[in-house]
Amino acid sequence: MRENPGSQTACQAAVDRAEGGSHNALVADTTERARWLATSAAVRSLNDAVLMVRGEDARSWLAGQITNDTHRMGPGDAVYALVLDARGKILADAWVVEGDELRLIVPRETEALLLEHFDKYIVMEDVELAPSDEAVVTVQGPRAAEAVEAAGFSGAPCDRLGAGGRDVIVPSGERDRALEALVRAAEAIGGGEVDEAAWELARLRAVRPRFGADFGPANYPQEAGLKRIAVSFDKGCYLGQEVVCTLENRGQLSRHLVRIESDVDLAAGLELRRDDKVVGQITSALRDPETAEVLALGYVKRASTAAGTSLDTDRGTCIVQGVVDVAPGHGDRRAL
Amino acid sequence: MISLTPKAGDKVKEIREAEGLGDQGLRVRIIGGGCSGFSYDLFFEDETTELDQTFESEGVQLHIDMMSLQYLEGTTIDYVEGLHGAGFKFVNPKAKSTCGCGSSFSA
Repeated sequence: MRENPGSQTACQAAVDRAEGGSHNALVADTTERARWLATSAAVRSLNDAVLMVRGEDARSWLAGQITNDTHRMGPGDAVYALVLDARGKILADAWVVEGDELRLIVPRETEALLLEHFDKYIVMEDVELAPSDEAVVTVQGPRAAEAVEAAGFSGAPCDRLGAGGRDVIVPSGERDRALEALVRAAEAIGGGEVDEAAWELARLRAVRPRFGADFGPANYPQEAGLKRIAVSFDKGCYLGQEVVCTLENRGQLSRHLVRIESDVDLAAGLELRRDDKVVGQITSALRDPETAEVLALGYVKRASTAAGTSLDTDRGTCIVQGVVDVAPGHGDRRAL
Repeated sequence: MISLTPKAGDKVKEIREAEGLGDQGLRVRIIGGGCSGFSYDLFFEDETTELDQTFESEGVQLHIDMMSLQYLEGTTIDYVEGLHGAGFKFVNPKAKSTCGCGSSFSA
C-alpha cells in the first residue's frame, strides 16, 4: 500500500531512513578516520597533563623514578616510560619529552597523584616538579611528521599507536589555533581530525593497551605487554625495579593481557570463563564497523592465554588471539 | 645521631689515606630513587652548610643534611666483606624495607 506522504507512518519511515543513513555515514566516517591513523595523519587534541621537571638534578633524579632509559635523550627526543610504585605496579604511563625543558606528558587523571608521589622522593636534590599550563595536540600516523612540520611545528616523536606520531605541546591558550593549523595540514595530505570513536578503533586494531582501561595500579608492566616499549633492563635503579627484574628473570606472571575476537558484543568488565571457572575479564572492546568482528583486550590467567583458546561470557563465546606484546613502532625512540 | 662501626671507620680511613684526602669528612645522604624509593649516598666532602649536622664517629666527621637525617636517624654504617662482594652496609632502623643489594630502602 502506498504511504500517504503526510501520514505519521510515512514520516516515521522517512526519519528511520534518514537516521539509518546518518548512522551509516557515521560508521563510514569512523572507519575512514581510523584509517588515517594507519595510513596518513590523524589529529586529536588530548586531555593529557604536562609536568615540568626542572633543576640541576632533574635528569638524574627522573632516571630513578621511571622504567625506561633516558640518559641518551637529547633535544627533540621523547621516550615512553612507566611510573611504578615500590611493589612494581603501574601508577601511570608517561612520555618524557626533551625540548627547551624536560617535560612529562601524563594522563590527566594521574596528575595530582604523580605530583604527590614524586614529591615524596625529592630529598635534597635540586629538582622542581610543577604542572604546566600547556595543552597537547597529537598527530599520529605514518605522515604525522610531515603534517606537523607543514603546520609550522616540530613536535616530539611520541608514537602512540605504532604507526609514527608527534605530540605538539603549546600554551593552553593556543590550543585551538594549533589544532586548526594541524588539522589543515593533515587534511592536505589525506588525513584530518579524529574523534574518540576513530581513535579507539585504530587503537584496538593496532593492539595498543591504554592506561586506565587496560592497565593501571593492579598491573605489572609485563602483564600489560609493555616491557618492550616502556622498560629498560640495562639502566640503573628506579622505583619498583627489583620486582620487575625478578619477575623477568625468575618469576612467572599469573595472568596476561590478551587479544580477543568474537562475533558477540563484548564490553569492559565482562567476566571470561573456561570450564565454568572465572579466568579473566575484558578491559576494552568494540565492534569493528568494517569487518563486523568484535576486537577486545582482557586479562586472562596464564593457562588460558594460548591462541585459539575458547572462553565463555554471559553474551557468548570469544577466542583468544594471543598475548599482547607491544613492539616498538617505527616511530618509537625507546632505544636511543 | 648516626655512627660508623669500628670496621667501617677503619675502611674509611684506609680509603682516605690511599686517596690522599687527609682528614676529609664523609657526606652521608639520601637521594630519591632506587628500587625501593630512596638510596644511600656516601662520598668524601668537607663543605657544609647551615642545613647540615656533623657527628663524629670512629675518628671520622660525618656530615648529614637535615632532610636526609630524618631518614637516617639511628643508622649504623658497617663495612662487610663476603663471597657476594664487599661494601658499606647501612643498618637503618627507619627503613621499612630494603632492596636485595641493600643500597635502596623504603621509609
